[in-house]
Amino acid sequence: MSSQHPTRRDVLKRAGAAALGTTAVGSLLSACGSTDASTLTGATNASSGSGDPIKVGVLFSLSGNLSIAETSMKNATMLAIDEINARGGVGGRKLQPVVEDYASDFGVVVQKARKLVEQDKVAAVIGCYASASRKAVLPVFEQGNNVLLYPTFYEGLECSTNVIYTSLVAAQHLTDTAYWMVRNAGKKIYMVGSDYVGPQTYNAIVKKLVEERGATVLENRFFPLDQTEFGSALSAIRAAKPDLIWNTIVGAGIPAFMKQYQAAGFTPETTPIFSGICTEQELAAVGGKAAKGHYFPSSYFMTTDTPDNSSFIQRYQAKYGKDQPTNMPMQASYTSAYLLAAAIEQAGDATPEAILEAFPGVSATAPGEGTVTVQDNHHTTHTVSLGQANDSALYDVIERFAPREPDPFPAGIVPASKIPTCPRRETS
Amino acid sequence: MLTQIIAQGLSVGAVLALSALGLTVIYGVMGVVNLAHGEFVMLGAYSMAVLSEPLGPWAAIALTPLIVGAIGLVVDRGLIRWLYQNPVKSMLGTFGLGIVIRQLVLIAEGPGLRYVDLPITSSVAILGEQLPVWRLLLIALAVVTGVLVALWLSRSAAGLKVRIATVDADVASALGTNVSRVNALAFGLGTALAGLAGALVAPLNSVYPNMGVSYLVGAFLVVILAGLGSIRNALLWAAGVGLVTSAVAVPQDDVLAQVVVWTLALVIVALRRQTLVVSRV
Repeated sequence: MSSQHPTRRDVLKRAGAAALGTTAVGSLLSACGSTDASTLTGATNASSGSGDPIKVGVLFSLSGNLSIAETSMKNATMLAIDEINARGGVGGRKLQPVVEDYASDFGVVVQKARKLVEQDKVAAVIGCYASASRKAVLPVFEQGNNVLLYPTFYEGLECSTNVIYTSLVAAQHLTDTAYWMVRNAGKKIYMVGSDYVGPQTYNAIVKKLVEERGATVLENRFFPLDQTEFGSALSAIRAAKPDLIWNTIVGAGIPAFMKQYQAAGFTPETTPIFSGICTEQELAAVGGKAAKGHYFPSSYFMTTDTPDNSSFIQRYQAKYGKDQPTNMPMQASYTSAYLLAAAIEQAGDATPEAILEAFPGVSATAPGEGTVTVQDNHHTTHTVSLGQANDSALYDVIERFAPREPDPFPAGIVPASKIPTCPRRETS
Repeated sequence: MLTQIIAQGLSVGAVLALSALGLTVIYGVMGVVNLAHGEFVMLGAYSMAVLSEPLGPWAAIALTPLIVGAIGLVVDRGLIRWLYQNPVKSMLGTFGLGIVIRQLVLIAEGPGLRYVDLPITSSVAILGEQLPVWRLLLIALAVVTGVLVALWLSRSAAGLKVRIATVDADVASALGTNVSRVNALAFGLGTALAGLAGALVAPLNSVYPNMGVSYLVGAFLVVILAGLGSIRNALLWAAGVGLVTSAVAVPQDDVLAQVVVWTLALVIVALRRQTLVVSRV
């Protein structure tokens, strides 16, 4: 056995070589910056003379777990910026994107936001996906007097003076669907979700809405984020005999839940699943067989058959790849760039303060959806449709609801005394 | 509900059993604590994800243990053989190995969730309850595999060598056994079992680079309770952990089930005289 043991000298030699090697590689890698090649160096402050480009921050995860969702959001933003520049920019000034990758890390997102606001002095930032990332950077935007355009659907209960929420807020997202499902699927509802504030708020809102229409929530069951074993929950669901499932499980749990649901013998004809957080991207991992027949409400579906959506998909795929899917968050990112351009145009000035002042009332056309308008409460009107999954793991639109105004503090969820006047400073 | 609890518990136990079996063989034979064991489960799941469409699910399930076992052999020759009979060193080494494997898979396949088709989506009525056929298959396969491995170890010539090497490596090599080769074989077998577990769970869950961690934890729990080296005990305790988990999870919730299982495990281990019981393979 002793001949197999390396001597101390051998180990030290090897360890030393390894350490040297790692440091060398590490310093090489960090020398390559994380900014996109399209940024120019030495550019000027956003509010200086006409003709100078307007710097716009683009802050998404391009690596790590969240990159699977956020890379397309960055791509769609870049597509919109290119289109805006191709038609001459805003007031004769081109938009200059400054792209930062926050690597799915909620500490790095703060650093990158700080860099964009304090060093690059961008006019505004389009970015963030998970609520945790938005919450983390709120102080940077509020204290730095800058603007964040947040293009992801979220639970509400917020209305920062320095954020424009360009996608759906929970009550706006779910109200018509909640009423629809009670009308068409049944009155006994079993709720499942991932255990954090987003799904918890979604479930609370849907519970209030369905109870208004005489339905009952049999159970509200939450799971840790990494849970992929749902057999026990399915046994409990079977025993409860619901008419439908309301589902806000996120991430890796969604495919696990829906596949095990089907394997356990549940069918969408008898017990359909209505999901709150399941875009085409999540559905691809579920697969057509297990997904077919279940529902999801959204302000955008890839299958929407309008000329402007076909054109959008075609332009996106021409730039980023033939089979690239489109979905709600990247459509909202694309629209955010146009909303920003319209606000700068309206303000006549590309400083964050002027842009924020100009935003309420600004509109843009969201492809495959229609006109969206920013409200005084910094949220955006939207048109939501209800989609039903088909066997290609895409959604067919089965009903299009009337446009809805956004309410981040719906009555009945927050006590009346706690409903603030929006917008307000969220951090002190 | 009782039938559901039992079927659910046994199917969870089946996956635990397959991962714990591999872990116990690896420690029992070569004294290596394999903290990268979950990554071999993950590799099995990815192998299933990649192969099941072109080759069909059954061929993929048959091939996966061979592929993951082969990777295990390479890993053994490249890294593990410096770590034999050294629990602390092997923990450090395999911890690093786990990180490397995860990152390599992340680079090769990306962070997204992979879809694996569930070959049998039907359920069958047993004692008035609907039970997914795939889960029943899982249970059957775990039992068959456990029995086969036990038989191989106790009846075959190679198995005999493995058992001698477990008890006393010096005596084994004095008797002419190439202990190093026996260790490699054991590591290959252990990782092949992990790969099989991964292939069987892949259709029910999601396949992604970090999925292995929870399987490592579960496997270790079973191995600590069952004692290292006994296949029969590993199977029984895996079933036990699965049943207790589902007995709490079905009526209540899964988080409480975890609390109960781990508290019971602590109590059981505390009441024993040794922390880690090592028995003959």
